[in-house]
Amino acid sequence: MGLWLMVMRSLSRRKAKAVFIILGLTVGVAAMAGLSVLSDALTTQVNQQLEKYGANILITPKSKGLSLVYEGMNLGGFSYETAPLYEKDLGSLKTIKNSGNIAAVGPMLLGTVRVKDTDAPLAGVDFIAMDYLRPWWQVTGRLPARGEVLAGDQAARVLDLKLGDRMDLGGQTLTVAGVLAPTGSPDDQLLFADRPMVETLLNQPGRLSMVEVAALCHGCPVEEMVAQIEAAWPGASVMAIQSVVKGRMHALSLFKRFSWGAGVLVTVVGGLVVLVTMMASVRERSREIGLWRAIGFRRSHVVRLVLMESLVLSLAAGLLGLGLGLGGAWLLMPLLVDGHGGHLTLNPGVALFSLALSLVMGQLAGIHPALAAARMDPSEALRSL
Amino acid sequence: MTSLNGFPPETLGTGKPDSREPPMIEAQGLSKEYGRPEARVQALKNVDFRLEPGEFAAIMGPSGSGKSTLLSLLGALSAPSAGRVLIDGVDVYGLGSDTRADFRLGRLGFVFQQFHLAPYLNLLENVMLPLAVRKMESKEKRARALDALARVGVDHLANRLPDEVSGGEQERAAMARALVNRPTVLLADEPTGNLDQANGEKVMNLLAELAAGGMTVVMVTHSASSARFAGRILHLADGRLVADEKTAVQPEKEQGGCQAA
Repeated sequence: MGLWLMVMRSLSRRKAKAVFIILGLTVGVAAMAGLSVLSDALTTQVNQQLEKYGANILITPKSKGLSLVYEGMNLGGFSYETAPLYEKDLGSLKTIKNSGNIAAVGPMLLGTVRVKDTDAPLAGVDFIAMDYLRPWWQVTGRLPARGEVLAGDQAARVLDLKLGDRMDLGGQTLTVAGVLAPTGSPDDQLLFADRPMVETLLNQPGRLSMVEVAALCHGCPVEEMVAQIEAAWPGASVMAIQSVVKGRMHALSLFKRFSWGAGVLVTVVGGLVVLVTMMASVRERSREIGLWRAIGFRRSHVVRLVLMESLVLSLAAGLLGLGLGLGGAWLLMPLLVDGHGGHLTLNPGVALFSLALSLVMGQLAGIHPALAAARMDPSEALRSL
Repeated sequence: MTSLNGFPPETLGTGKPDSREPPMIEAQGLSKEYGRPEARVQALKNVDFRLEPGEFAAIMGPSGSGKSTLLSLLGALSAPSAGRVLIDGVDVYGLGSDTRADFRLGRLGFVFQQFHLAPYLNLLENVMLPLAVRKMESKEKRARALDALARVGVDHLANRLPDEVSGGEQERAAMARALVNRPTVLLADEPTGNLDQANGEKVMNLLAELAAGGMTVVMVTHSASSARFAGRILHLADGRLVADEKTAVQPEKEQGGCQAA
């Protein structure tokens, strides 16, 4: 017989206490694993949803000086282009390493036109790409075809444009096919029309003012894609729309931190349960421990026996907690995730961390009872001697 | 000085006070105090005696006379406040904690009044308990344990749990556990205290046999009939050794009479 057999037999005799200790840690590990798996699944879904929020990379002409441009709109009138963008360069986007992550490319040509004696900004866009890049657009009427325009909310009010109105632009008569609901963005100020027609109206064939790119960012590093595009398109200034990317990352990291924090906290509480229960168990078994010492067990043997018990219990708690955590996450998933967006995947790192946390907490909680057991005076513990 | 029995030279005794054979157990000026300094209780007061190899000694005395304290000191379980305990020439309280534990494991056997068998282990496993921390093939551990159980006559109960056998059988299993490491000294605390007369006599005969085989046996008892099995009776009163009596008559003969030391 060895120490392991003693441990297993002793635990099998004290089933109720063993189960109590295991449950104490199991709750913590389950919370840890469950929240972690849930947060991963939610991260995936949030990423997928955030990708619907449109462009996250902006390509503009390279400028020598500072320019006050917000989402492609010139605010101060002193932005000057030194290397214009051309439509023919759009092909370079297909050459980058992460081209597979590009979901949509929206080239845009901006200029001003005279409408009803008022200067109005006109944007030439590809409406098929805009459908992806501006999923939040709500259009009264419809998206324009050739010979038609779409008016931003404020542009329509200032220019007094209504659906079906006709207006003269640079010698062409265009019909208002749709009006945008307010977006709270520069789009409210603009008139939108088919880009080839705008090129003709502005007499800038093949030129672009900016290009919006929507990258599927789940699993792709936007910053790396920015660098790849800059390398492939030397005349362009490329930037990630940081507010979207950073906001997304911040929200996800907060949720992850909450998950880990909650998991660790619950596990620490579980560890305290183990500590208290094992301490009580050691006190209860003082005679038995006294006997071990009397028949020749060293203090280190006693410490080892108590820690081996907590190791077995915490390993069982770790495995059980992992299973319960996954099961709980699977049950909660439909409540937290809409539609079919979420599916559970067990990250091996999470599994290992949860098990390791359980073992470490078990050992930490076992140290004090183990030392207390080893310090027992055998003659006091046996009493009868 | 060279090491004796694997224990450091500095823990060995200073030698014999006379030319007799070296004693197996020697208590030198043993005293033990308990409690806080302002309320000290002196459980043992300057106790001296020697026990030779193969001697069977009973310690007797009224409750509170210091019998259990003396057994605890002889068993290397509790350090004396003053004096020394030499076992086979080794000053057991000069040893470090681990070495003293190893000494108990290899040289001493304990039998307790309450048996102290682990209820979750069968008799064989209980007997194997002292072997759990020894580096030994499990086959050998099992063989040794079975041999010890056979020696006390309960090997047929090896797979029973303690609560599945009688008190006498539990006591025998506890003796087998004490013997499994083949100790040179056996310390027994009221070994017949929980047994009926028939079982008590069996146990006492077994202890006498062990002593006859060369093992030094020290037993604490309240029972005069049990003490008669011992070749020597140490009488304690109020922490002092008040009489050291050698019995000349074997209990089987029941002729009565004791010879004072």
